[in-house]
Amino acid sequence: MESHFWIINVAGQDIHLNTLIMVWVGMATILLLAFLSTRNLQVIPSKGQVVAEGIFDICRGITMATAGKRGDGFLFFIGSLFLFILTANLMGQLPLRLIHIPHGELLAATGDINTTSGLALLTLIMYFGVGIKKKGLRYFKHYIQPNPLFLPLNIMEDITRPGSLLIRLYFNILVGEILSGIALSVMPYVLPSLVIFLELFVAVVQAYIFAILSSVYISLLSDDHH
Amino acid sequence: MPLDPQVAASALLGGPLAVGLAAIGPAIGIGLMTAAYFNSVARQPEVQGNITPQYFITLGVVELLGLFGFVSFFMLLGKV
Repeated sequence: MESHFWIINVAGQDIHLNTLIMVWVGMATILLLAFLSTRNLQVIPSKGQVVAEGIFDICRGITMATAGKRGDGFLFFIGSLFLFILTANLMGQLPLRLIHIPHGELLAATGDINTTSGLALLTLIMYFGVGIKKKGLRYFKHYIQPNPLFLPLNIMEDITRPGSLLIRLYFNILVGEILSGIALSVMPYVLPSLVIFLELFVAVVQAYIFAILSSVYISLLSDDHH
Repeated sequence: MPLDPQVAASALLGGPLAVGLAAIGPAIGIGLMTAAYFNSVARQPEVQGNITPQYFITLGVVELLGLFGFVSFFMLLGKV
């Protein structure tokens, strides 16, 4: 099966260059917007500041809903995760197919399983990190609770949680791309625009779900009664 | 690899079947969940802020089951 990625080889590793371009453009966009909207903070906010505060409220709402006040400890992570996935998802809806690159197409960065695996791995590292920071080595005690027979199940949980996160995000975006491709071939101009409405909704919901589930996983394991 | 036509035919038949069958359960589940969500919000609009995050968490969990059908579709497509 021919790959639809533009692959270059750096030091023996395959790199998907179209995904890399989208990730970097996305990160640059976030940095630029964040810089522009928070450069000149005032008590009576400007338009950009209102938007930035609204986005911050959404991110804080995610951690408050799942972890309460403790959530402020990992708000930086959940917020960046939400913003990055949202930007990457929404960039997939731009008409980037008009830009020709040597191989493949510029598609959403989250439509590549490597990006979502990276994000899921970050969540895994984060919840180990937060748990160990909060409880020290006592953190590993939860593997043998309620009794040592549960050890394999508890270890499997650490694999299935990031696995389910990455599969959910990747396949939702992939399905959207396949769907818009089919719509484009069936009835150009009319059907794709309808699909894009659905995709905009899916993009926001998936970013929200990824962030909120990461927040749940992180907060569950740093809980006191666990 | 020489392609066994029987394997290819089964994979082509089974892939879409897997997607369709896997969609049944989550469809019912999400339908029930959304109905309950709208019912409760219509009765008590003030709880919306509390239950919306919970709703989305459950939505993600239920939806994943449907996507597993899609995963198997791609795995079967690799056999063709």
